[in-house]
Amino acid sequence: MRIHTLLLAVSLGLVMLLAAPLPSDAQYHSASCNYCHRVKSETIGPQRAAVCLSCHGPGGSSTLRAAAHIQMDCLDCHRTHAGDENWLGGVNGKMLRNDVDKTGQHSDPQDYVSRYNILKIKAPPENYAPVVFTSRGTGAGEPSLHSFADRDEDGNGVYDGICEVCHLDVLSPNGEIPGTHHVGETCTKCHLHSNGFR
Amino acid sequence: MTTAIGVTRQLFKIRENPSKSDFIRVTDWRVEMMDHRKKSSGRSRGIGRRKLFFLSVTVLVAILAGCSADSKVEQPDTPVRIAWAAGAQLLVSDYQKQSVQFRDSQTLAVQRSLAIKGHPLAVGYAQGKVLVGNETTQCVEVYDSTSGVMLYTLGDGPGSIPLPNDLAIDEASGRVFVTDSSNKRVAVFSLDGPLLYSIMNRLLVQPISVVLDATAEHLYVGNLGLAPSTYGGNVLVFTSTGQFERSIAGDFTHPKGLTVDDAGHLYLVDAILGQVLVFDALVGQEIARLGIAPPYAGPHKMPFDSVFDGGSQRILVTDYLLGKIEAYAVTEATP
Repeated sequence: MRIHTLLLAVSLGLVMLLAAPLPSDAQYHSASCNYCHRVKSETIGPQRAAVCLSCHGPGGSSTLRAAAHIQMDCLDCHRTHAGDENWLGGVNGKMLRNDVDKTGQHSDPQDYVSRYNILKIKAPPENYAPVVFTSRGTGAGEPSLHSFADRDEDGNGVYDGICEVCHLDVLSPNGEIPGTHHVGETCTKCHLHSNGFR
Repeated sequence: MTTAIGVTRQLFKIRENPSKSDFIRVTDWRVEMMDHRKKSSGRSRGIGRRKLFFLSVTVLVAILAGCSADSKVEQPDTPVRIAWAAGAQLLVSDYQKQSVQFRDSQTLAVQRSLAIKGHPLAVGYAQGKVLVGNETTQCVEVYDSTSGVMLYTLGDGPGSIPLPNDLAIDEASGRVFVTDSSNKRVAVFSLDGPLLYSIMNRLLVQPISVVLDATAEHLYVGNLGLAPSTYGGNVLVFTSTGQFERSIAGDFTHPKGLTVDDAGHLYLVDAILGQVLVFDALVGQEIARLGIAPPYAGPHKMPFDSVFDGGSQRILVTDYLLGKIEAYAVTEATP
C-alpha cells in the first residue's frame, strides 16, 4: 500500500512538473537584451521597424500583431524601454512615447531627454507634441480621460492623445475643430494596429 | 470661399495620397482656421460669412465622407512568402491583402489572385494544388489552383499548426515539410493530407523557414536559437527523414527565408539585417552578401523570403515593408 502511494505521488509529481508552463520563446526573447541590441548599430535607421516586426509582424512569435502606420515606424510612437513619466507625471501604457515628432522625421532617441525637459513646460516646440496615454478608452471599458483622443478632457489646453496629436481635425466628420469623432473611445477597435490603423 | 476651396484641395490630397506632409498641411490649416475665427470674431459683418464658410466646409466634408465610403484606402502590397508554380509563374502570399498572387516570373506583374480567409504565410505548389499556411486558421490549406476552391487541410486542420511560417514540398515522394514554429518542430505531411512524422531536436527552438536541396535529401531549417549562445539564429540541417546532420551559424540574426540554387549555394534572407547571405551549403560558410549593408538611408525594409530563378540567374526576394519583390543577379553577390 505504501509503495503504491509512493508511486502515485511520484507519478503525480512528474505529471505536474511536465505540465508546468515553460516561458515561451517570445518571453525569452523579450527578456534577452541581446535579441535587439546585438543588431542595434545596424538597426538605427530603417531596419529598426524590422526588429519589432520580427516578433509582431507576419509569422512572429508574439500574439500581438502590429503594422506600421503609413510611412511611420514603430519607434515614432513607441519606446522600447517604457517607464519615463509623461508631462503630467504618469506613465504611458502600451510602451508609448511621451512625445511625438509630428514632422515624421524620426526623432533622434539621443535627443529625447532634452526634448522631454522642454516638454515639462506647457509650450512644446512646434513639431513636437506631448502624449499622455494612461487609458485605452471607453471601448475597452476604461475611462475616456487620457485615452487615444479625449479632446482635452482635463481642460489643460493640450490635446495630448496619441491619435489626436496628429488627427485633431482630420477625423472630424462635421468639420469641427477639434473633431468629435468617437471622442474618448478606443480608436483601435476599428482602426486595428495589426492593419496599420487603416 | 477661397479658403474653403483651399481646404477642399487639401482634403482631396489627403484622400488620394495620404502622407505625413498632408497631415502637417492639415495641422497648418487648423491653425489658419483658428486665426480666421479670431479675426472674424469681433466683426458683426463677418458672422454671415463665417456661417457660410462653415456650411461650405460641412457640405464638402459630407461629400468627401460619402466618397471615401465607396473608395476605401487601397491596402499596399505586403508580400511575404514566394514559391514557384507551374508555367514559369510565381506564387506570392500577401499578408495584409489576404491573398495569394500568381505573378509572371519575368515581369513580376500580378496575373491573378487567390483570396484567402485570413493572413497567408507559407505558400507552395504541387500537382495543380496551391498550399497555403494560414496564420489565422492555424493550418495548411490546400486549394485547387484553377478554381481557387479550398479542397482540404493538412493534418488535423484548423488550430493544428499555430504558426505555419514556411513549407517545402518534395513532389516526387509526395511529402510536405511545414515549420510548426510554436511547437518547435517540422511537421511532415503527405501531400494528400495525413501527418507522416515530425522532425524534432533539442536545437530546434523556433523553426521559421525551410527548404529542401536539389536532391530533396537534405532539409535546411532556419531557426531562432536559444539566447544567449545562439540568439542570432542558425540553420539546422537534417536528412529528409529527420536525422540531424549539422548546424550552420554565422553573422545573421533572423533567418526568415531560405532557398538553394543548382550550384550548391544556400541563400539566407535575414529580415533584420535586410540582406541576403550566400552560403556554401556543403561547408556552411558565408561567401557573399546581396543587398545594401546597414545602416543605410532609405525606406523601411524587411526582406522575407526568396526563390532562385535559374533561367535568369536571379534571386527574387519579397520585402514586406517595401511592398515589392526585389531581384538580385547572382553575380551581384559580393564577398
